[in-house]
Amino acid sequence: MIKKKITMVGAFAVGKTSLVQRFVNSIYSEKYQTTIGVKIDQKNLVIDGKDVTLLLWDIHGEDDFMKVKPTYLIGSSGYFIVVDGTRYETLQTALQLQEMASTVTKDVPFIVLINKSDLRQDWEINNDDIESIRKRGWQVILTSARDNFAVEDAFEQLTRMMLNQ
Amino acid sequence: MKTSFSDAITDYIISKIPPYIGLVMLQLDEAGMLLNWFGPVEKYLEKRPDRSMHIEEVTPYLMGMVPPLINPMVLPHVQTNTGHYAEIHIVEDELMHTWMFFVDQTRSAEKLQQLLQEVNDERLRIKRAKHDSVGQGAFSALHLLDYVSFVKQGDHYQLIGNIPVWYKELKTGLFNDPERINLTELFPFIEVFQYEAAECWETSVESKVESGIWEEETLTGRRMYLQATAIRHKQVNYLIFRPVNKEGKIGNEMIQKAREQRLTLDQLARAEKQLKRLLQFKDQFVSIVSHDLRSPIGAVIGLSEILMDDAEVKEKLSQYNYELLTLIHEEMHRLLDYNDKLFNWSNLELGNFKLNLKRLDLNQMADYVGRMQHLKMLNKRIHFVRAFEQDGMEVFPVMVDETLFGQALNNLVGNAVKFTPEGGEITLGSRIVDGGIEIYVKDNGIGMSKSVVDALFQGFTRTSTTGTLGEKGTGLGLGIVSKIVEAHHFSIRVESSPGKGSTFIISTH
Repeated sequence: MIKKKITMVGAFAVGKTSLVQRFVNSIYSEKYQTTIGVKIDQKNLVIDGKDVTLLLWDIHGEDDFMKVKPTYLIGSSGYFIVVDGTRYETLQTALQLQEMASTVTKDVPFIVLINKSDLRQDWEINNDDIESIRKRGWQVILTSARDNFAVEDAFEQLTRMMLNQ
Repeated sequence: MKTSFSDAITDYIISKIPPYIGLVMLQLDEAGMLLNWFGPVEKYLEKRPDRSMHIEEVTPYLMGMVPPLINPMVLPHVQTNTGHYAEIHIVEDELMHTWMFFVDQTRSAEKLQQLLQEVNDERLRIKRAKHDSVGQGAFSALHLLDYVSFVKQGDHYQLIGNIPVWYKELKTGLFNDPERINLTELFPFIEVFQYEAAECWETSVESKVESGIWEEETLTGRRMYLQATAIRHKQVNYLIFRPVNKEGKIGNEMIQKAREQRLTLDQLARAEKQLKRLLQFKDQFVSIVSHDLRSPIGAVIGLSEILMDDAEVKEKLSQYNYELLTLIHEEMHRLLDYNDKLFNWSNLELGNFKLNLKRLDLNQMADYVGRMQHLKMLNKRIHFVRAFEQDGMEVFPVMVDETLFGQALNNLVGNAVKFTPEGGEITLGSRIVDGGIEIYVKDNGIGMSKSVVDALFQGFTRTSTTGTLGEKGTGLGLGIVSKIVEAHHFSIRVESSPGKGSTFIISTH
């Protein structure tokens, strides 16, 4: 059995916990519950005929009160940087976190998830912003934990990238 | 746990790991196989540990963490499947053995979660409110020009933007359900106007129509004249109101007065809210800090006891140095007592307790207090008397939370011990007065002046609390008693005069 650790990073209230809960337990809650520290979940899946166990480290959101500690990222085979499409400032936080994560993890694969695509009419992040992220060579997936849109695809995609490394 | 710690691990434990009962410790060999374990492992391990097991079998969530990539590695606030939070320390020693320490952080994490949740909810709410305003365009800002604006949605009206000051003066309780406001109920005049408005709203072009002026009465009994305007703009129907004078001009004077009054009230309300919030933050802060201080204080007490009990150390120390060590030990005990009282006090302030009411058994309570104060009373040869007046009652009809009420009586008796000279007497008693019951603690100690009595029960006091044998106090004990008495809906008073002793009386009726 192959085991891989994936870490979820991003600003507060971007939907990291919702994405993990949607993927692992197929549940979604409208109620926002702030995460303290780290909550670790596990999910087994088969990718291209290989059994893989994913350990998902759902880390608290970065903000003025709580800075993400680099030690949480140690041992990660890949990570998601999660952005809330309705809050532009979460994209700036994401860019800072990516710098820190790439230093700690020695350039393991990652994907930027722009979450809350169910609220597309309220997005502050536009196509030009998304395009500029893609121009950095980063993979971007638009997701919605609420509508279960592209959540499983995102995890499968990152797992493939980790297996191919 | 039969093992020996290397010097490096011993140093690490002393400097980084708080000694407390719930600590979990694991020792692993160089291949990550379990060698030894200690403490309530079921809190953090997913399987019962066995010496043939690899660490990833019992803590699969720590995959890739052993041996630590940086040494030592500290992971704060890791939430386990059992709902506990732990700070996990992973340390490798000179023999390439890995040591893991799980320090419980459940309580502090829960407190932190509560605080951050409030802050983040508020930040998201502000963001959403701002976004909603922007979405409604210029109509969302009309309150700045003293208009109140609604968008018509089916049979109902939805408020846009904020409420102008004058509107609050006119009506209260309008916005219990701002999503579904029935304007015709609020302003019967609109019922007449809505036919004209409907014509305007049904046109395909941009249009507007104004109503006649009607009169309303403000909450303070003043007259206010209003006018409504129906607007169709970009295929959306709006209804806006504004105050006018009788001739149809906006009543500036009235608005000014209402606004000034409202501003003052708003400022007061804001200041009160902020003050309450600050007080709560203070109590939460004190509660967290005093809780977290227990471990280091306990460590110093433990370490000083080790030194005091060590015959070799005792032999090497001079008499003076040994007395200093004893003093450190005693003062740390006093600090621990003070810290515990601070913790209890802040939790009582925060309301972090639930009364578990049971029938009061005064004899049992006296046994408890007697045990708690036994040594101190023995030192001062104080006679502890019980005087319970039952007056034929088969059961004592007073309901209390045994733990909290016991703490209150213990504080009162403890105080009495402090201020009663050697050979004195302290009475824990009850009596029936005016059909009710009073419980009292009486001493024949040094008593208090009126000014000291007046300053009692204030939580913190700057009045000296040194006892007859130089015993030091925290100044918190009576504040805690007061909170506990208040929580039971009882009352407390003091009868005292200098040189004649004091009686603290709790009325339970």
